[in-house]
Amino acid sequence: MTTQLMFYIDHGKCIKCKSCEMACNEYYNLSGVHRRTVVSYETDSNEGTVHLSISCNHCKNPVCVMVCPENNFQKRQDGIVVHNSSNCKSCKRCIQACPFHAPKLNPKTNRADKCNFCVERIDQGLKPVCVENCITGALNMMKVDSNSTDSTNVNADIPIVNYTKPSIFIKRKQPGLIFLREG
Amino acid sequence: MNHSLQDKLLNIPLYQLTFLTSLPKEPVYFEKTIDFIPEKWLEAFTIIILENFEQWEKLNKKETTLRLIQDPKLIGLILCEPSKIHMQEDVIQLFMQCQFPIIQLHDSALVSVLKQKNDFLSFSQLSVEIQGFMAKGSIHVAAEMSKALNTPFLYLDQNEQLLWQTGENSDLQAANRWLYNHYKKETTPKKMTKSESPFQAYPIQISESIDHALIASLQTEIWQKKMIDKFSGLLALSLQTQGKFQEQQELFKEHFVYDLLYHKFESQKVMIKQGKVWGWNLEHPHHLLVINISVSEEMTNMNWLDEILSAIEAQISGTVETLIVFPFQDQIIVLLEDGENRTVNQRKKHVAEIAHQLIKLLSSHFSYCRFFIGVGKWYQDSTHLNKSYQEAKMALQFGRIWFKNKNVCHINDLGALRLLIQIHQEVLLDYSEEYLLPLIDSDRESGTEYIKTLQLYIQQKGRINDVSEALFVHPNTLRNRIKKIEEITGIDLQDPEEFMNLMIAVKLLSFMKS
Repeated sequence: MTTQLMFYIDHGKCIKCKSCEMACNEYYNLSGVHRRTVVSYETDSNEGTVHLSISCNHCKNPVCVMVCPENNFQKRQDGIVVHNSSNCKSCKRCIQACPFHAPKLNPKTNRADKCNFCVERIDQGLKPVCVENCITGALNMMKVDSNSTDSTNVNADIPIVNYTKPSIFIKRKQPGLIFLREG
Repeated sequence: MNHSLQDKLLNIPLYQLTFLTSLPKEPVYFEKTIDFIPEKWLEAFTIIILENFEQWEKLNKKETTLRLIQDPKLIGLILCEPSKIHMQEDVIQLFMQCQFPIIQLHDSALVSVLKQKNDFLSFSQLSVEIQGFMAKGSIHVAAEMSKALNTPFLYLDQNEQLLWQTGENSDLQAANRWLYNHYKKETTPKKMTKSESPFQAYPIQISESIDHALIASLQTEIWQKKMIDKFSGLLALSLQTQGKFQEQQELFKEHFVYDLLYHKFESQKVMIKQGKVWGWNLEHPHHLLVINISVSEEMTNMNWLDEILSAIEAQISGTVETLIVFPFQDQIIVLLEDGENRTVNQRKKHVAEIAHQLIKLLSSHFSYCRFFIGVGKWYQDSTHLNKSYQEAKMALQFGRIWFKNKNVCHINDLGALRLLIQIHQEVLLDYSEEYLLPLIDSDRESGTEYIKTLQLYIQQKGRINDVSEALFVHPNTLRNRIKKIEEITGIDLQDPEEFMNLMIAVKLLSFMKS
């Protein structure tokens, strides 16, 4: 059985503090580019405004793998899609193709750059730095059987999302419930 | 010192022994060992251990043989030689008739075991013994044991099916008769060990749920029982080890398949080497096909993926094409070797032919399932199979939406729409809405089915009768509807350029909304 690591996002707990964004930028010393972004949008349902912390969704069918002429994207055994930037020719195909805008051009390196689920931390048994720094627990990670990623709960109206099969689990906001931080 | 030859042999790994003649049933004892052929009668019970080719070559002389056989103090002969020993047949027959033991020892270092004062069974040697046992093969060791103990060996699986047997033909016939008349009719294993029974079953437990059995003649002497017990123990251990090894191989294969489809191997050499473990030749370029199966309710209770795989494997075994077939994430992946010098179109045609043959085969076997095959691009470099896999899946996904009547879709069949993934999604959506928004609004508000009509009109290449049939409307109604579409969009469908723009907009919309 192969596994898939995926981000778990709880709409009910995200307070748009952007700690995840900042932690990622600080950890990887990024400037002028964000691997993770918190976006807010109004929903048609009674959820009201929701905040979604989003980065690479480590899709089951990653479009980036297909479009990269240098074959620089790889999906690891644990489902994490990693980008080997050392051979990146900065053609920007992945940047344009990804329906989630996960790969971005890093102005420092002038190469594509994207979330790698903090693989080096994962290999040490640690959580990704964004998860580690989420103060409300809205952002977490989970491990599932890679065959079951079809059932991911993606509510966003994103084109070809059905094709790429993003490995992300979104827990909807439950009306009437207000998140209060413990401690 | 008095040692039993048979007991000493128990301390030597079985795979190191070859029995040129059988062992005496009664234990034979010796007091000393010598390493030459004596010229005169022996004074004490002796075993001759010959480590030198010139020495045991003398045995082929008849006068030497006769003298040795007549010497009452000579217990047996041990010949140390790693390779096969060739002795004259009549000499061997003579020794056999006199029940004189001649044993070949493959490793001369083991002579020390025979010379040791105390018998010591070393369990640390077990790993070496198992390794040698597996390398030689359990059936070969069984054949030697059969000769030494004068017994047939029959190996039965958990369903009491005979897997292999070895021994003299007459003994095997008797054992098979007993097996048929007594063993298989017994309900409890206890009854099989009755003293009057000429054969005995030794249990071989491979796992909690798998119990095999080894049938041998009933042995009365303790050394015989010990030797068969040792053999059956080694047999069980070797089968357990093989089982574990196979499990590991399966796991390793699962990981390799994942890497093949999701990784770019940095080294093609490594990929080829790993592929060879399962007999896959990845040196040549391959087409990659993904078979998607819509399973009917009739098959939900069975292991349908295995059934379908078996059907494909049975069929391809006799074909000229080299196919590698394996399951992956509820789909079947087929790698079709294609190292021929072909043009792009020839290559596409070739893979399409094979894909159609596969669909035909599968549909005939599993008429209650629906199959669809997506084919990725052909790459000269096998390390690009991961890209081909993503392309095949995209062809599969989008081909099923657009080509409703086709069941094979090559990534190139998507044509200009492959650009869909290269251009920003919002731009594509804007483009299609520029042309189609009034029709979409009309469909939503009045249920006019303009978009569906256009889709079918394009799919059926403008054949009014076919489109009206598919829509269940009169051809005149359809003509009227198309006229309306032309009026709303301001596009003349007979103008090739305008038609092409509209066609792209319709295709984009259907893919993006899928």
